[in-house]
Amino acid sequence: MSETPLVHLDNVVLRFEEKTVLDGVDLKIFSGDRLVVLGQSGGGKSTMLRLILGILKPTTGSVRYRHLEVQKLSRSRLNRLRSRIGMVYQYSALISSMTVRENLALPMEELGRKSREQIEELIKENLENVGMTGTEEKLPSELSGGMRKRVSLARSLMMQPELILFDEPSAGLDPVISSVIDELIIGLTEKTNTTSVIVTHEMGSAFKIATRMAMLYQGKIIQIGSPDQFRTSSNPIVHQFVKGTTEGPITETAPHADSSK
Amino acid sequence: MLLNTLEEIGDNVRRGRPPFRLSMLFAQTDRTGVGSVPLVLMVSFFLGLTMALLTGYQLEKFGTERLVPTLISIAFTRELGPLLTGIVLAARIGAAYTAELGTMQVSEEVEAIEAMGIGPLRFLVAPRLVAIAFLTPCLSVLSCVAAIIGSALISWALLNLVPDAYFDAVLTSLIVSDIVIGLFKAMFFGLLIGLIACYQGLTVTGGAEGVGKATTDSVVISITTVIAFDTLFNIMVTRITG
Repeated sequence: MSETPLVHLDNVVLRFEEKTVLDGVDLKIFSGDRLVVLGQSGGGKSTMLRLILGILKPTTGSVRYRHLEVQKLSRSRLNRLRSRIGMVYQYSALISSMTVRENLALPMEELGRKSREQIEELIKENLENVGMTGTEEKLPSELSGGMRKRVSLARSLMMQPELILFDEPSAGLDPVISSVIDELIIGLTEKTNTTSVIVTHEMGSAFKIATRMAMLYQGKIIQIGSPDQFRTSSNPIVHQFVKGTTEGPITETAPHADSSK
Repeated sequence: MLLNTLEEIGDNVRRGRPPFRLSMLFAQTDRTGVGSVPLVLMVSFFLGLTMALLTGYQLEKFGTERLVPTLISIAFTRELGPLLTGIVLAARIGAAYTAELGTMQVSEEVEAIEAMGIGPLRFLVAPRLVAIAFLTPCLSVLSCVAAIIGSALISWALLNLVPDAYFDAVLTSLIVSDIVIGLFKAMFFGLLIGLIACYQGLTVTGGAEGVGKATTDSVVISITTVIAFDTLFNIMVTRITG
C-alpha cells in the first residue's frame, strides 16, 4: 500500500445550521483499497462520499484528492476531477428518460473523446462485465432494483475511474442479488485495479467486500482497520454494531442526521 | 443560475465541445414550440374573437366599429400576444420543466449528472432556456395571427366588416416598432419563465410533495412575474417614447 493517500479527509467538520454531521473526520483512502465505511443510518456516511465528490464543502478541514484540495477547485477543474471518480447511488440514479445504452453512453459522449464505435464497444464490454447484456434498449423503469444497480455500476465504469464510491450498494436487495452485487464489486474493482469506498451498514456485505474498514459514529471515525480487527474489536460501539445487538452504547436515538439528502 | 449556466457552457466551449446536446435542444424545441401551438392558437383565436365582439358593440354605438382591426392588431402585437403566450407557456411548459427537473432532483438523477462531471445546468437547463426563449416570440406571432383571424371572422359576421377591409386596416395600423417590442417582450418572458421553472425544479426538497409544491409555485411565480415585468416594461417604454 502506497504512503500517499488517494483521498484524505483531514479533520473534516460539516455542519448544517446547528446540526453537526461530521465532527473532525480524519480518514485516508489509499490506492487499491476497498474501504467499507460502517455507521448508523443517517450517520453521515453518504455525506462523506458527497464531500469527496465536492458536491458538499466541509465547514472546516479539508478534503484532498491526491494533491488537489477538492473544496478549493474551480467548477471546471472539479468537473474534470469528478470524471475520474465513479459513483453508484443507493437507488441507482439512472436517468429515467434514457435507455440503458444512453445512460452508459452519457459520460463518454459528454466528457470523453471516443468515437461512436469505441463507445458502443465500451457499453457492450461493461454491460457484459455486470451481466446485463441485452438490456441496452430498456428504460430504467423496466429493470428490477438489482438490475438497475448493475447498470449503475456499469455506468460508473465507463470513464475508467480510479476511484468508485458506492452508496449502500446492497440496500433493498434480496440476499442473493445482494451477494451478486458484492461479488461484482470485488471482481470488477480487482479486474480494473480501482480503489473503492463502500458505504453500508450491512455487516455481511461489509466483511465480504472490505480490505479495510472504518466505523463512523457520532460524526467521528472511531475505528479503522482490517476486517479481522473489526471482528475482534474491543471497542464496545464497534462490537455492538458488528454483532447487531441491542445492548450497548448505541441507542435507538437518531444519530447525527444525514441532512445532505 | 443563468450566470452559472453560462459558465458551464463557456467551459465546454473552451474544451472544443458543443455548448449543449443538440438532440436535447431539438426535443425541448418540439415540446415547447410545436406542442404548444394548438393551445396558443385556440386561446388567442377565442380571445381575439371575444375582444372584437365586445369592443365592436361599444364602438358601433358611436359609428366607429371600423377601429376594431386597429385596436385588436395593436393590442395583440404589442401586448396581449406576448402576454397570453407567456401565461400559456408558464402553465404548460414551465410546470412541465419544474416537475421534470424536480423529479430528477429528488431521485438523485441531477446529483448523478453532477457527480459524473457533467455540468447539470449546461446539460439540463441550457437547452430548455434556449428553446423557450427563442420559441416564445414565434408562438407570440402565431397568437397574434390567430387573434386577428378570430376578430376578423366575428367582425365580418356581426359588424359587417368584410375581411378585405379588415386586413387592410390591420396592415395599415401595424408599425414595425410595435411588432419588435412585442417580439422582444415575448423573448424576455420566455427566458423568465424558463429560469423560474428550472430554478424551482432544481431546488426541490421533500419528495413527491415537494415536487407538487414547486410546480404550483413555478406557475404562480412565472405568471405573476411575467405580468409584473410587462407592466414595468410598458411604463418604461411609455416614458421613453412619450
